[in-house]
Amino acid sequence: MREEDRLSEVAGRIVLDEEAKGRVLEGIKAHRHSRKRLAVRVPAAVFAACLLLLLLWFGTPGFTGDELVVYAATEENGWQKLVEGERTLLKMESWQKLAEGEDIEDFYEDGYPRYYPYKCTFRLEVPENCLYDRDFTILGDDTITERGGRIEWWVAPERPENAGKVRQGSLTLWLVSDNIVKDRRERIKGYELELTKEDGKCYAELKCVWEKREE
Amino acid sequence: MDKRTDCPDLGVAQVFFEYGNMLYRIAFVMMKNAFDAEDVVQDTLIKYMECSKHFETEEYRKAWLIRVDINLCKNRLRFYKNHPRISMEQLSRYYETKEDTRLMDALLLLPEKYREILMLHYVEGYQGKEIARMLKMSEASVRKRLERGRKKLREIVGEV
Repeated sequence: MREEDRLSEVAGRIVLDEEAKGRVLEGIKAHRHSRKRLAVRVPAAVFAACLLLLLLWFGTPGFTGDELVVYAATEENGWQKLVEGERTLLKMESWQKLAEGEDIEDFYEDGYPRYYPYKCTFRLEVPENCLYDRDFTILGDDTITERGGRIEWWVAPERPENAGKVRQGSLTLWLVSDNIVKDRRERIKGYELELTKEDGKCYAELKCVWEKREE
Repeated sequence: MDKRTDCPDLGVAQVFFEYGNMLYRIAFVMMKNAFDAEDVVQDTLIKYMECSKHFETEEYRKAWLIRVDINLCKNRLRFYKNHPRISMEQLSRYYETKEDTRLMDALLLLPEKYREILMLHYVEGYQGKEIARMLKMSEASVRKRLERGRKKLREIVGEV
């Protein structure tokens, strides 16, 4: 029998054991990628400052309390709140460096680079009783990662054939209700964080692309 | 007009019991470790829970779950480029004979693009056309990858 014909039988033996099944189910019920929920423990003083800020914010006309707020690290203004429809120049933080004797080519695997000289960072703020979810798209060789309300755009070296080109990608962020109705969580709003690479610089623009209609 | 057919809206627990093992198997082969595979299954089902999609047939639901499962694996793989390879201890949970372990080890040593296609074709029983639709690629590419994947698999089994 050829190797590939045995695959079905052999790989078919990979199953979740009872313990793992329990863990997964428990995780789903608790919506355990609640690592995405911004439930961080903060010292009392910081908490008080945040509370004050929130109070001030609530006083601002137009604040609805059901918005996902995205902050971007910028060179000029530090953490800057992204305003819908406004393109913001991002800070490209120097990150990975080549060690002596290493060549960029050493970092290519299956055609993808594993070397990212720069990264741009975003921070998310989610309203009370909400969570967020995201769908990533890939921007050329770059990688986009997300952990606990922090999104990092890892910028790979530009391939020579792409020199001078404007490159664009976007990731979708969903604001999701914390309530489970009929086994599901409802999406409240959808945003697109448009990422652009132009002349060696990185930009971001936030767009609200979907909103739940009240029935 | 309402396009609903007979395919019922299944709760997440039902979907898990129906497809949990399949999603886990695919994620295990893609991620090469049980911990990430478990996480991916969990995230896939949370995505299912959050999306308010109605599936016209059970096959659509299954294909959607596989696509999300594979995409989540790919996202993680890109993040964990330096993730360690699977340890033999994890594989030995499932295999008793050397031949079986060798075959699985060879499958896991294949590049990602061949692994996913071989899994979908030989283990989950999908045809080239269905895989092409699921992974959004041409049927010719699927056939080529299947052919190369098979060849590489045989080569590796011979070497391991």
